[in-house]
Amino acid sequence: MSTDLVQILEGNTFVVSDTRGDIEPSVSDPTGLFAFDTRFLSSWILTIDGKRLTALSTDDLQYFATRFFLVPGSTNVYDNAQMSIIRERAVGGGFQERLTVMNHEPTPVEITVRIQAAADFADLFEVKDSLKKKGQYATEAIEGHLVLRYTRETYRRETWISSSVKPVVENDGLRFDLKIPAHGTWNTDLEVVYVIAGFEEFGKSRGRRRAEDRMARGLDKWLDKAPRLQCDSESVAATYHRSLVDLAALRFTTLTMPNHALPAAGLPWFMTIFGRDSILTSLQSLPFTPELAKATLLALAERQGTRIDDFRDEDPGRILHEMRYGELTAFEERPHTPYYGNADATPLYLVLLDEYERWTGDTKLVRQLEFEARAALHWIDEYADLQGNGYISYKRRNEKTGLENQCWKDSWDSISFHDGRLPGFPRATCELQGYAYDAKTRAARLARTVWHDPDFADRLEKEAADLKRRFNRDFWVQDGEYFAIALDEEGRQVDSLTSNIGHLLWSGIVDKSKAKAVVKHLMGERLFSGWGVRTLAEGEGRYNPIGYHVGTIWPFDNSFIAWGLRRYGFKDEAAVVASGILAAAGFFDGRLPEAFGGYTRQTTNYPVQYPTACSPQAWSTGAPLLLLRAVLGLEPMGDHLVVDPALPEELGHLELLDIPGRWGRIDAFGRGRVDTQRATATRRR
Amino acid sequence: MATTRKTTKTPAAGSADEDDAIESFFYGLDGRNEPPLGRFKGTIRFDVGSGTELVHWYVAIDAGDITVSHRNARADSVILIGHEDCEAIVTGRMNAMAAVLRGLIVPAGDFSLIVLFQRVFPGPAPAVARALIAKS
Repeated sequence: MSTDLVQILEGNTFVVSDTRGDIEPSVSDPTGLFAFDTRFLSSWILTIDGKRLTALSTDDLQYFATRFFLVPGSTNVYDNAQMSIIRERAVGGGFQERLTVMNHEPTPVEITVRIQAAADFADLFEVKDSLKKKGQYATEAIEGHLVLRYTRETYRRETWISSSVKPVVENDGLRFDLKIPAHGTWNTDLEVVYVIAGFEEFGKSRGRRRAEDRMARGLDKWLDKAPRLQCDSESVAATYHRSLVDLAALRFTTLTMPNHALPAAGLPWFMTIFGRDSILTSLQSLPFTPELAKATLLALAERQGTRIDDFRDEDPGRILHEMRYGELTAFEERPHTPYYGNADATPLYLVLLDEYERWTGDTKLVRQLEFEARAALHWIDEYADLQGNGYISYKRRNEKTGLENQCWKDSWDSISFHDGRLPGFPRATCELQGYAYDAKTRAARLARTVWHDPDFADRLEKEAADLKRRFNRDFWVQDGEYFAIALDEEGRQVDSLTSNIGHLLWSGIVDKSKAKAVVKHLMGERLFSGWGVRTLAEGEGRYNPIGYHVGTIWPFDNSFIAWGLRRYGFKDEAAVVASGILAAAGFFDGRLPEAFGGYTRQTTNYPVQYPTACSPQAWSTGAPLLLLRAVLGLEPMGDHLVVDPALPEELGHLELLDIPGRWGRIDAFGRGRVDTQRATATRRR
Repeated sequence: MATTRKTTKTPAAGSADEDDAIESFFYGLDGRNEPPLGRFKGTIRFDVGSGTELVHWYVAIDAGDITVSHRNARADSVILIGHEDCEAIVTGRMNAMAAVLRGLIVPAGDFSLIVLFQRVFPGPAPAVARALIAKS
């Protein structure tokens, strides 16, 4: 996406425009007003006397509001503009725009102000893939509104455009013929509302509720509720603030739970529920904003699979992958109502449920979700074991629009042998087994303490122990001393060295005797770049420092690796990873991208951003939060929070105040003492 | 996934013939416990048909226990749907959420109930799924 675009959003509604506030049709960029995965406005251009305006400045007031200062014509320092134009825009049920025109002349002026408007009603998938529309367009003037309409059979979407000052409604916009007095000001309030057929009433109430929500969920309140960070490092303090603000912007409410917000996956393409992304972001942010985890657990429970559906890769008990509302989904040309093709969200759901209870003590929710938790455990044993070998593996049943790789490394070439060959399907990637182990271990705790079913707990613990034993035998690459990224369709080890071994530490599936060797790889030159751990190690057949899952560094991946290092007692190493990623964040003004290049730190001296589609990306936004947890060594223990800091030296003094949890609120303090340069050098020997 | 706790059929009179798929579906639900609906309470009225030719099905959900009848009752959510579309959904030939997005199902009242309830509808038969995959 071009960097000079301005985006504001609320929930799944967002507006992307240029710095003048104009929206011009674009096939490559997601410019326009989008809601429910549909572009309700693809053109919105302001002219005065037929001429476009020039931007003087743009103010991002809040993530849902912005203000554009404009003058007519091109700016020239030798000409004083005789007129100023201000557009103040806020998103909510569509958007509202206050348009103000100021005449600086000592005489009245007569001008024509025009807003040209059009809608292509493209599905987000169509914007991405440049597909043709199958329905009909119409334009109509209804009671002073300009109504843009798209119809395909019973599917109907409309955009209603109106103005507080009565406009001349034209076929492609609104016109105002004005006379503004000397030094006078004129303004009007424009409103753009989207309508989904069958939900007219619902849309209106949603619009009203959104305005109220905005008051209640204001950014200040959100920031006030989160723990306060005081830190010698200005860069880390700024990154923390940026993460909280971006998390607020990524909050998303579903149709069924208007009062609970969960994290959407990323702006602009992924403003929807993703099982994996919402769960991992909730895990990262648990010590800071635990309400996101609760909303995620409830929303995913409501849509848990109940039947076999090959088109949607649905099974009973499976946690969804992605939900969409656009035209292609409506006509079942895409499987996203919702699509279930992932192999990790289901075990991760159980991990989140337990971790949420450990932080909050909310046993009521754990009781409420007992059925869903048991169904998820049932899925792991009955539906995910495609090869009958006791491991989760995946192979899509929807071979056209389903996902090939159903793990977080979901690009086509992400899972490969050392020599670069791609394995067949089903594939049992290693981190899935770690998640399953962790899920069963944690579910056993919940079964014993909350569901009062000790027999079930015993069974789960026995299964987990058995899985761990088999896993350490079957996935261990003897001569390399690390875990294979996967077993292929024949049960052979897919033997490339990858960051996935770090997730295994997080899950606790690694035998203690093997942990040291795993850590040596993670911190060694082939995987660790100086900024972070690469997705694929240097020297592997498909390694490419700017390959999506084959060499780049993913901040989210590293945050879980740091948590894993802590779990096995490698505090200094966790500090090294945190130090690298937090330093990288400084180069991106505190907003970590989805991924950056795997070049060594000495080579580039700055992290090279991967050309990514989404920013902010939820789990990159959550990464600094989890890294802070890791270096502070925050761990719930019964009704207490253990604080065991091992901070990178350059962070200096750091305080995290008012950490919410079952203990009420607790403060954590630490002083940087880990010499990350030396720790790195030692590890590499 | 649903555990059945079958009771006697609701004797209320329908309009169509006995082997109507819609009747089979709704009567089959009556008296069942659907654990996926365990956290919810409310009544959905399905108005099936068009114009004045509407058959009302009242589906009451209470902690997963389902009661189905034609008896007039207060409904939290009303779902208007054509006979053929309803038949397609209850036989797994059409996805209910897709039907909502297409405007084939017109909801009124508490919309969330239909989103929750749609998980009780059957999935597509393998041949139906294959056809969907092929055209996607």
